[in-house]
Amino acid sequence: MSERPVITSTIGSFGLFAEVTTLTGGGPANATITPLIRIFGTAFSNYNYGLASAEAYTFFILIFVVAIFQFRMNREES
Amino acid sequence: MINFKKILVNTLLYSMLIGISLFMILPFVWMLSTSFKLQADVFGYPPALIPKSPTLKNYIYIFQNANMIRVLANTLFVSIAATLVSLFFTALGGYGFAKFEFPGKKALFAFLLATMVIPGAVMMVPTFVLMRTFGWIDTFWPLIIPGAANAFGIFFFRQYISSISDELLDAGRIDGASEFGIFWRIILPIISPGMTSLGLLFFMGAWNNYLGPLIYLKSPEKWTITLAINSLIGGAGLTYWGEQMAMSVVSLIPLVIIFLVFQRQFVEGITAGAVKG
Repeated sequence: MSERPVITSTIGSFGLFAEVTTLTGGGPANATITPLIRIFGTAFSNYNYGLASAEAYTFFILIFVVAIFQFRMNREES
Repeated sequence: MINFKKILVNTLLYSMLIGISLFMILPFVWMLSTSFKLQADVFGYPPALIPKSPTLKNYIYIFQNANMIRVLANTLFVSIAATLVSLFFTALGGYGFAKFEFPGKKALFAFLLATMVIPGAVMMVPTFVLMRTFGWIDTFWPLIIPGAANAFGIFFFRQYISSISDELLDAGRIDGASEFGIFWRIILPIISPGMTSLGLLFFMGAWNNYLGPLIYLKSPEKWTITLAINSLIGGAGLTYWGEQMAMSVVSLIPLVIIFLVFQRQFVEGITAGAVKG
């Protein structure tokens, strides 16, 4: 099960939120924005739940591809 | 000759490790130091690790003006409730997957593992809409219930409970225990070391949760510690650094106490899980 921590920690890094929100809020001019901050803003600042869900699923597919890629690499190594 | 080389390598290695350790611990020490500084001294030059004029003003402020007791009580309630509810349901789920045969078990378990790949952000909006339908906005329920049956916990307990021999459960059945009685009286005591370590992880997760309270808690008297700390960052440039650091220090105390109390079980539980996993 050595691949699981690597994959989950990659997902964790993609979900970076609190650090960025408290330090820069995603600014200046979106230079430090992360996917989660964008989704959060769309949903809870602009109240556009449909768009936020679309963003969330795009984000999910991206992570899914990375996770599969990592999983394959790990498998080839062992 | 060889010894000399070894000493040299060791000296380099240790000084490097000590350097990295100091670098790691510096933010923590700096937080402690800033919490005793006056606002004017926070960015004083040269930077001083030991405050020029140490003060308890920041601590007094957070307890008198920032409603610290209430915030701590809220956070403690949410964290303890979330931990207990999660432990109960994940252990129950793990027991089911470990000791019962039912159609679709493999597929269901694979599906459960696959949900671990889904980042929380994807669930954020639908969960919010669901909680709003329940009328749970600005209550503590959304911080306790949705995470109650999380995939990692069920996976963890399935591995743990699989190592318990079936004879033990059969002995319980012969003595007339119900299936839930077996879970409550036989399984739970055996898996208590695992519960301690996973419970600590759950507790820390709930205690440090920022995104959840940010979405669900609106009124200041329901704030948890992470929101309260963040509220001291001024958007327009005035940030109460000393007060913020004092609050951070106070927020660490319960975690440190709990960790010190459960440290031994915590380490044992993690390594036990590692061997079985």
